[in-house]
Amino acid sequence: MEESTSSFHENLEDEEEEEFVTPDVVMKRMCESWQNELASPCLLPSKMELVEILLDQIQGMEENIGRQSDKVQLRISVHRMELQRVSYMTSDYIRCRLQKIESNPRYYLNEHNRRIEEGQTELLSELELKFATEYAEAEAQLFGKTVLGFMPHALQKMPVPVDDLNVEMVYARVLEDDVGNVSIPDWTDPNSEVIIELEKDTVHLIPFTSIRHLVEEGKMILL
Amino acid sequence: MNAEKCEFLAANQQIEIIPRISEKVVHLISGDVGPFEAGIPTKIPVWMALMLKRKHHCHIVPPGWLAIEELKKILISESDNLGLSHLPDMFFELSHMLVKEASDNIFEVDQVKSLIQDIYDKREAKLRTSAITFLSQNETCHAQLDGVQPIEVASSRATLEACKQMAILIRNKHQSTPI
Repeated sequence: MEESTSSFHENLEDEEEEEFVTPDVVMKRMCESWQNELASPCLLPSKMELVEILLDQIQGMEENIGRQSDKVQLRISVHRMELQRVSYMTSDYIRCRLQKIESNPRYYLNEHNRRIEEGQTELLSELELKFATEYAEAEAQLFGKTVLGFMPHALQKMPVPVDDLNVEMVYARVLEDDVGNVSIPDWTDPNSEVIIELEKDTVHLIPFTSIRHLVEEGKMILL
Repeated sequence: MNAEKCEFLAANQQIEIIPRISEKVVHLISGDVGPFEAGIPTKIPVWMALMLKRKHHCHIVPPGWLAIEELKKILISESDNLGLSHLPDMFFELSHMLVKEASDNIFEVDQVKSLIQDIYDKREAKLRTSAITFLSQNETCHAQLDGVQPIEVASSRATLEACKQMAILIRNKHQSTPI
């Protein structure tokens, strides 16, 4: 994980931050994004900008610690421990995303392009996009060498499994007031829908597709 | 999300300590803590409190609900209430960490432990019954579980796979034409 952290870092040097947010707000958002990513059945839009801010903070803090002469001071060990906690969280976030990308790179590449065409937020960060492309290519080569090369021409296609998100269920908590209503499929009648009211602080076991947009907007959090 | 990660998140909560040392403000990424002055209570994140505790630099003040009287009240309301009653945030995660690492700061820790276990068992039984009821019907794909704790969600994650199978069955039923 160490290597990928440093390579992510190089990338942000030339990027300026668009808006000023305090590090503790970034930490809170990072916690939420991490929790959402862990609990979500599919890849959620990239929050790599948060990771980059935190990595910047980590580096700054490490430099600060390095400058201290007295290494046994209590405050140093407190800072060290926090650094370890932050880097655990960011690493685990990246690890979780990479695992999801590895499970189905072509599907997520398609999704990424579709979202860009529709003007939505990007699914993959720049580096994830590169990783997904390379992974998909390597996978295609392996498939070609081992299986597809021996098949008739008509069958030489890379399979792209599509996860059916319509059957996925999640636990989620409502974070804000006035989130409004969502519709969920009615199991007794395929042609109708049931409307569910979402009040603040209530927890629901609910189909993922019904609330996906609310999770992406930060109005609900997955548990 | 598993139990360890729930506990990791719970360690970000604030808790009161009485420091035994004096120290200036520490500027953490997640916000400033301190200044510390020996004997003066202050609030810091739980992970830091446990760390100071291990070094014998502080005395942890357990949250108000981590006392026998309060826990008994919670247990009674849990018995009276058909649904889940509302607990403090991260109730089980925090009490687990504090009982494990700061047992000498908690009054009558053994009784506290057994009360928490009772509360957990009661809630688990309710959750299990409701999961069985939910999984044995085929009318709705929505359930509301207010007041459920993160650790309880983590342990009932397996239900999600069952729900998925149910959704697939229902869809197949809708797609097939009756003879």
